Amino acid sequence: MNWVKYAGKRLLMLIPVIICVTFILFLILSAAPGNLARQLLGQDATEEQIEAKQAEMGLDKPLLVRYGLYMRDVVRLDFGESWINGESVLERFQNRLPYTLMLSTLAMIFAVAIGVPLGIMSAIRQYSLLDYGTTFVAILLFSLPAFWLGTMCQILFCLILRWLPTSGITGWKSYILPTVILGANTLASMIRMSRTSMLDVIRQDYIRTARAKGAAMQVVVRKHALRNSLIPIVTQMGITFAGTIGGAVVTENIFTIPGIGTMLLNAVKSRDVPVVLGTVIFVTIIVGIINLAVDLICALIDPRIDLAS
Amino acid sequence: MKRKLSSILALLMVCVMVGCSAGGSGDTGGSAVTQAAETGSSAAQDAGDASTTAEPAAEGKDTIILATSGEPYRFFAQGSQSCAGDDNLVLSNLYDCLLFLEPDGSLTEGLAESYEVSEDGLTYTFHLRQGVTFHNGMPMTAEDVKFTFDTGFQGPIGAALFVNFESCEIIDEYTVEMHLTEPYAAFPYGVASRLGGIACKAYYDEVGEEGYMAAPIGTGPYTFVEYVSGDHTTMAAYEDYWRGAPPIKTVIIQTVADTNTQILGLQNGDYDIVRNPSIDVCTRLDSDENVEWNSTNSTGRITMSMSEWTGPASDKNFRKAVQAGINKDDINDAAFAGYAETLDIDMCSNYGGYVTVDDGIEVVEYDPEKAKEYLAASSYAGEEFAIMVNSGSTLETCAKVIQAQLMEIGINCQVRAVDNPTYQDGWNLRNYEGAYIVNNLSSLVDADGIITGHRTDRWEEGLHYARDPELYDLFMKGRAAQGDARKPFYVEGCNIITEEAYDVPLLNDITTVAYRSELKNVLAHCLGNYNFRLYHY
Repeated sequence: MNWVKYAGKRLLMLIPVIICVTFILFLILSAAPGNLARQLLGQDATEEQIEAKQAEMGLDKPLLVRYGLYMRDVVRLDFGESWINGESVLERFQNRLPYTLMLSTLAMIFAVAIGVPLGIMSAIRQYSLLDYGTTFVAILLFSLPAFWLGTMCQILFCLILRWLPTSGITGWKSYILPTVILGANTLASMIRMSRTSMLDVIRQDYIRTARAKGAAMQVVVRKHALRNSLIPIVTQMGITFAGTIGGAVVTENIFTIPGIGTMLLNAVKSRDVPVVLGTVIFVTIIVGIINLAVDLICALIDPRIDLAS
Repeated sequence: MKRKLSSILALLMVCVMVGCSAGGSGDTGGSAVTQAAETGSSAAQDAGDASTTAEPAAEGKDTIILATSGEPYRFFAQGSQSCAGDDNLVLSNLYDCLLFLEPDGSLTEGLAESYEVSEDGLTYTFHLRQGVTFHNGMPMTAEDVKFTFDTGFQGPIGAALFVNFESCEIIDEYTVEMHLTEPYAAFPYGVASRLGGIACKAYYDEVGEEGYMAAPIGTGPYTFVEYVSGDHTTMAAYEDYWRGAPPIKTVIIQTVADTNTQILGLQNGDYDIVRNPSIDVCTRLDSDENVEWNSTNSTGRITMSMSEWTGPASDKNFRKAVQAGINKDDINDAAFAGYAETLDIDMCSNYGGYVTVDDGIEVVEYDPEKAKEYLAASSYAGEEFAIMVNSGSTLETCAKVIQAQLMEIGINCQVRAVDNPTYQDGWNLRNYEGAYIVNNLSSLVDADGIITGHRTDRWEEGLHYARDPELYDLFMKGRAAQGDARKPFYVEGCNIITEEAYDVPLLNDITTVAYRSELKNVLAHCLGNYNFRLYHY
């Protein structure tokens, strides 16, 4: 039951995190220049119309009162409506979340499935051609920004080779490029992390002892080294998975995927405060849950980790 | 331990599969509009699939996808929400107006077969076309016209587009009279605007504003199918359209935020049309034989306005130095690759009531030597002269060219590129010192657009810094007169602005459209409208 208690505690810890995040956001969005009501109504709007609109948007109240009212509604699971088109924030998030989760999950699978084996192999064959090759690829993927890599891949695979669609979700093919672009950075970190972790483990005394006893390298890696090197890799997976949800903003924008990334970007551009706040709260919860899941998985892999303590 | 690992892997697989199925359907919400999305997604999917792996079979293709960065989402112009240019993509195809605004800015008969204006300019009589039906099959009559104008006038953009409208009177089933409080020459442009799209009264009575917004009907060539927030809007051809069924049967307006993606998608055949790409993108497309583009003058005037109430610009000689020191052709080359028209006055050439040199307009030519003379005669002592623009826009390019030109004649010119809300607020409240470059867009394609910056009637609100009450009076007379009788007022007003160097009109903004070369009859429209009914493969 320890882990249930632990999970409960961790979930409760999310509450102050959400309060801090939303309050900081609230402050920043309020400090931003420009009269939103006037922007929405246009140059020809009269002062009365602008005042009425401000009252409708709740902008006529002091900052703290507005924040308090907003959080009261959030507790009642009412995340408000978009200032731009009046759509329910919760409903819009629900419609868009599957696209982002799908993309992030695929990107993680892509990065882990390729990155971890490559990293381990390059650790086992340190200073070989394979090691240099993977290190080079990892540094390259780390350095290339997603918007550039995305556009180059669109030109090559869509325009020249005509294998894939440039954008939108029109079937399974539409996920290939966004997955690779979103996963590229994660792939690089997976290669680096698994290489370092495995190098650390295979230098340990117990590995040397196993080798001295005559065990084959493959067997030693599989039976002794792999599990021990997995802990930092799994932790890294959790952190980067949360990162891919944030990183999806750029990828979704390039490939026109109707996920929460494009939703957040558009809301920030048009200063649609309820949508920005709502989305950030949801993402905070998702990231919190992912981190919790990672801790629990680590505890399952390594019995030495005691969640109760 | 092995067991545990297997369990984790199995759990991971289940999560992925759940994610896959959820992502595929794209619908977890419960709203009617979102539920309708599934059919549309498949329509988009069919169109997309057909175009991914090979060149699309263009012959006989009757579905088109238009890529746009701005998303249309308000489909009932007469409602309580203000609608804008993006919405017009859909509105101009769902609804017909009594008069149509053609791509070049001219007016032709629409749902009105003809119209007359009374001698005093206070009454417009419209004779309606018979046999026109709404998308629900109901006939369009004078009742619907009256409803449209009465409701539209009370809405947020009513006063701006139905200027001086007083009432609409039904004479008979197919004749209406519009009464104005004061004569207004640009009234027909309001009739042809997005607010003038005739809505069905009986349907409104049945479903209310919210219902109308969610499932709008008009008499236009296309019917509304669905709107999926942040993704697309779909329209289908109205087979009983009074000008004949459109050859393109399905139009999908796809929101594509990234402009690079829009163009790559067009070149790849994923999209058929890209809305208003920048001119440098268009010129790059010249090398692609599968894509064509064209442009036309929009209704926007790119003008530099100076703060004659404060700072160095309060000196008339300084303003005249700036006026003579700007080479508009260079700005045109840098910002529009030379495709825009330079402006002598703060009016576009497609405006009704436009005045030219032949009418008596005075023109200031680029003359750096003269500019230096004016500067020497002014009280200018090297203070900073800042030009405000919105960051990343074409206006910023214009400002940088002007900065270089003014520095050459000895003015310490700086460009302040700010975010859009700050930019808008500063302009609306005239809260700046130096100059502002603005793109004055006019929904009414008329010389009356010039009045916006000179309204003395709204001083108290602090919205507009009024310069010269005489200018306001002249432009008020210009809007009240009819035909050529308007011209002397506009000539006099424009010459005052030139003489005092309040504004330096720079360029007429352009609107562009890029499209697959197999698609025919695609023309850029001055207001950015799309006549999908004329297109065909």
